[in-house]
Amino acid sequence: MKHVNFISRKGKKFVKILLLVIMISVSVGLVTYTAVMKIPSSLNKGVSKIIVIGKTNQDLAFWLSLRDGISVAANEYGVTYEYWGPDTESDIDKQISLVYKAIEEKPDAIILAATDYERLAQPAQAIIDAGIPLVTMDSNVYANNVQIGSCFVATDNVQAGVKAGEEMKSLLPDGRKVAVISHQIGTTSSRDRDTGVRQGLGTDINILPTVDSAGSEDKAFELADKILKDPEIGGIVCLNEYSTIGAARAIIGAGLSGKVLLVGFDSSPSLNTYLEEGCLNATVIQRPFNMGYVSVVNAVAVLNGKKVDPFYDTGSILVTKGTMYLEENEKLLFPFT
Amino acid sequence: MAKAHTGHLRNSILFTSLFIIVSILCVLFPVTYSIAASILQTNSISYTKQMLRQVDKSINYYISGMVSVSDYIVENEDVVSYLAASQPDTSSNVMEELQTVAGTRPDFVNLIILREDGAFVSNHDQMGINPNWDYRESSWYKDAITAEGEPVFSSSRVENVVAGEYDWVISMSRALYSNGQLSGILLVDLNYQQIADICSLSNNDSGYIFIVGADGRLVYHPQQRLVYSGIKTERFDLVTRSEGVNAVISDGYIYTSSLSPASGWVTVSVFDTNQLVSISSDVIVLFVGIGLFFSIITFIISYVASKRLTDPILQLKASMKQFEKGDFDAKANITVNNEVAELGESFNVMTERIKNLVAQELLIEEQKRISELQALQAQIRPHFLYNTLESIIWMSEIGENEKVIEMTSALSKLFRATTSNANELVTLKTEIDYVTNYMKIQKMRYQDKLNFRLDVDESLLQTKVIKLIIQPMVENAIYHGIKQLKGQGLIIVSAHAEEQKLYIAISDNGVGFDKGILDGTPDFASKDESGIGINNVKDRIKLFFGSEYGINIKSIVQDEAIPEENGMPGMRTTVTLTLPLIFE
Repeated sequence: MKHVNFISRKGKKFVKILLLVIMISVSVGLVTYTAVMKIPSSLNKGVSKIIVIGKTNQDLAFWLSLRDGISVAANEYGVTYEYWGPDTESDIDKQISLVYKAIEEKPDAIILAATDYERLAQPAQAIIDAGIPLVTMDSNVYANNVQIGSCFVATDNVQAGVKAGEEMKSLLPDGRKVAVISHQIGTTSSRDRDTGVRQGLGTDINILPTVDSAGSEDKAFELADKILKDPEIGGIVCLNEYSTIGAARAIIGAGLSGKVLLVGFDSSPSLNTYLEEGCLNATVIQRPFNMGYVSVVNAVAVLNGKKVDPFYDTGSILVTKGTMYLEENEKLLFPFT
Repeated sequence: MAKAHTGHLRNSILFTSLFIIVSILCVLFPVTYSIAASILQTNSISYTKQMLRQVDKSINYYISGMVSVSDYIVENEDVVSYLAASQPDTSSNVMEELQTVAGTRPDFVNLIILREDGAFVSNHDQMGINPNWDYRESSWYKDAITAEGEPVFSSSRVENVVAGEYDWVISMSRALYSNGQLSGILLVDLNYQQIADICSLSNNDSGYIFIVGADGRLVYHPQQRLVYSGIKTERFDLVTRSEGVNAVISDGYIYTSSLSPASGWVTVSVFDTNQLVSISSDVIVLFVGIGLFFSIITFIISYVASKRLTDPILQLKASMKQFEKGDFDAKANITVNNEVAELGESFNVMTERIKNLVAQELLIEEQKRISELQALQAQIRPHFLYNTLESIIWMSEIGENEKVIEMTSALSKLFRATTSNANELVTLKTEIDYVTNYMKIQKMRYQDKLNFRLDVDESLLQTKVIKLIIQPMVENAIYHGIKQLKGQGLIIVSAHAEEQKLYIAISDNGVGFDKGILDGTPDFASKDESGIGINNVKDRIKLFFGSEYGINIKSIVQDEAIPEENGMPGMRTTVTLTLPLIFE
């Protein structure tokens, strides 16, 4: 009896300790759980690293503003990022190698602005295969006509092209020809804007075959210079910032400012001056800041397992000399501190 | 053992304590929380207002700086003569003045006087006017003309007057008059970054400040690019444009607006009380933690305390169960020192008493059985029976039929009395009748040698006595006293009451007790029949009524002479039975 009692007392003590341990672990677990549930995003933020691969690492107004947006969003959401890019937009091989290098670094997410929608498809697929979330911006990549990234943040380029085309159509004197200078024939932004411009110009206007500046201002200048030799040319539509600058230089050089119409894309201090001077009749401005900002926001959302829309349209605005100092345009045209 | 029933008391103690602590916490927490939240909110609002005043003060410093600079410039003689376009040209003096002013205020980007005739002078040596833009189209120009000499402040804008420069500035413009005629415009540009820096100091997690210009456009907003690009929306509808500091609360946001009369700007502080709530969700986590901690502590303490309380009770209960099953040796060994221990003590005393009572009861039963058996044995002792039957035969031979009938009837009554009455207690009368019947038989056998006398008061006949206590004494007297006597024997049975006690005396004049037997009283050492008989009766009386009752024997030993009493030969032996006086 005494012996039995001893054992059962020991057993009770064990049960007591067990109970205590269970209670403590449950409470600690609860507190931790609540804490973790409350700050899961901030916990993720602390460790998340995003690699952004742009089309170029040059200090171009568009890309500077885009990187600004990335920086603001990264600050706001507590993620770190690195911005990589080839020297020129035409250096597709360099960008492909950058993508593979980024995969090796095993970041939490990659944001890519593809210089070529066909050639970047395989590297982009490699990102997905490595289990890294991919957000594309500005220009998309496709595999068998299916978007590879989980989200594409960009200007609706067809829509933007239509705006440029319609503006040109409204300004163009009857019977004159229009030329289109693209910036990088293999990239979706170039292809879609071209489509949009032709759509906006309609079928009545004689449009010359699109020529490609291949990411070079000087090439654009040469192409424009050649185009301007044609006396029937009435207007040139350029599809990005430096092809517009190249064409503007050619027009001014030929003394045709105001005589040959120029509708461009994007803005920069020199483009603003061309706009004020009247050499550039209109420019379609995108919202690169928004593009960078939303790309990061969506990448963070994907990281946190949230669902994001496959396409985010950052929109575009057509600005003329008359509307450039309107409040909403002023802030987009001039780099804002 | 009895595990299924244990813990009910402990559980209720445990859950009661837990319930109390949890309810206290549940009441305390919301109260504390709401008090803390309201204090936090009040503090936040007052802090916000204070911050707002601070920002207002800083901004007004810049604004008033611009106004006083413009006042100084307007009244400057060189400027006055420059505006009048009078000779000699004072433009170089004016430029020097402007440069001096700009030197004192590095935050002034541009100081430009634009004359209506197209001439201009600024603080910059080599400055060109942007040829592509007609500043007369700008709102700052139009507003200044409308204000007729009063200073006008723009919101944030790109300065597009200066050729090749596109600075973000805040502009003050003022129409200048010469001889009552509009002669020019003074444009003072304040570095926008200056204002942004002042305001950004006030930004934190739970709030920020923005400024709306007199024209309703944003002067400053910490996330203005997001606001302009439409990613973020600002609740301009919550901005109030009236004197003093006004707060509007909507959807958990507190919009506090402060109008600056000098510039017409409204400084707005936005405070997110939702953020406040999210801060206090830390408090909730902390509270849940504390609550759990105290619950555990309470649980442990009440577990231990209840164990201290319930363990002895369970112990006591186990002992009772044991007792219930018939183990009268069950004892509660309670080691703690409290009421339960006292209870255990009482239990132990009770079981002891019950144990004794039961033992006593058993003993009484046993004695009764023995006495009945003995009584029966005494009656049907073969010797007694043979003698009686032989006496009957003999009497019937000599034809004494009446005596035969009488003796047979007495024998029959004797047997009936022995066996019939189940009760331990009978009336004294029953007992006396029994003895009388017995004596009838004995008297017939001993003839004149045996005399029997009864001396019992009528009033005592209905008292209760234990059955079969007188006859054994009488039988004793016959066999040990009278039988050996050479002469007439006498047995007297008398009874009297005194002080609630009943005394029944059986006296004889027989040979008396041996000295040794007398000395051995009250417990007779010898185990012969008479000894057993007396002991049996004595034990039964004592067991039934207590130790103060019993048997007393007085006997004058055989060698001594018996003193005479009232002229009659005295009695040698008197056995007195002491019983309580019980009437029905």
